[in-house]
Amino acid sequence: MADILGGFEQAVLLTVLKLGDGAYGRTILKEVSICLNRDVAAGAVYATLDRLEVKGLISSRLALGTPARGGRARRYYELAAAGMGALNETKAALENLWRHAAWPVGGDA
Amino acid sequence: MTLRYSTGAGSNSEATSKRPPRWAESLLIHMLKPRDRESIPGDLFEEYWEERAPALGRARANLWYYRQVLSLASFHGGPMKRSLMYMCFFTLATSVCLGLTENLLRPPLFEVRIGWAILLGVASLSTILYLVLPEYRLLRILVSLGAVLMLSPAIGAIAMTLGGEGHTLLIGAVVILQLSLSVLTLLFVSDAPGSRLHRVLAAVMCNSIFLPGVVRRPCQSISCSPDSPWLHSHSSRYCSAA
Repeated sequence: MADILGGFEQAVLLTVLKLGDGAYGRTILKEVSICLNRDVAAGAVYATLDRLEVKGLISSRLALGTPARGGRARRYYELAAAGMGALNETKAALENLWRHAAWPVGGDA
Repeated sequence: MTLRYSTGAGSNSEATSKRPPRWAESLLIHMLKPRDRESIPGDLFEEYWEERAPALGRARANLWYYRQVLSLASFHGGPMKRSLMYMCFFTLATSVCLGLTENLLRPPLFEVRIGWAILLGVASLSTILYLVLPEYRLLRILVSLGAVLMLSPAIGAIAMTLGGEGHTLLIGAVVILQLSLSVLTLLFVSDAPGSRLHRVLAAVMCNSIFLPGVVRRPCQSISCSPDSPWLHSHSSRYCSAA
């Protein structure tokens, strides 16, 4: 079994999956901040995207820029087959770990 | 690869007032790897232009932008981290050279300064290894320990560098660069291991070249010592001032 993805890696991968064709740096950053309910630094997201791309879990392509971004190109991200597999394996592993623990852990929340 | 649509934004005064500070943009572009120099500044520009500046006002939007630039400062071993490593290599080489020089010249209290030079060398080497192999806990402990050891002499030594001359000026210039780089890379790196305290200590560590034994004035250090075998053959060249 592959390594279990880290929490932030899962958040970024799931966000890329959720955004589909609209997944580029800015939208991913905003969506991750909303989902995690905290202000996320751009460096954390881009570093994670870079790492996931090196691992082959996502792929990217450049597209035309717009006037609202000074004409600069956008880099769109897409989940690779290996990324899907890693997400599925991570979910299965975590569910397996949680199976024997009562929720909420330690009694009533 | 460069894909351009148009440069509509920034073409009039309103656009200029809503764009991020140019120096910060320029700094960001130079810090990033070539493949990201279009997309990441573009993303931040878009967010600044469309959301932050209209909602927060220019000053707070600028603060937001600065924070993003700092968080990207050492985006995956970028040029900043590499530069810091080169600085640490310089510090390491300096400590070795100065340690050897002290041993050859043997001025008063040379043993103490050799001790400091050895500590500095160990600290620089630990910092280099820390940057290369951040996952090793022992290295983090070494770096932090070294930082604590050298914090107090460093403060006193800053004053001594002010009257610098010769190699002191060179080392001082490198120290200033090293300070900036280490603060940027170690304090604001989002994926750096360890707690914030750890990173503060590591940043201090990277600037331990302020040690008094290393950056003191060369002429003061080369006062004649009758114990130095090397000086016997070079005394006319180095000891005339003393």
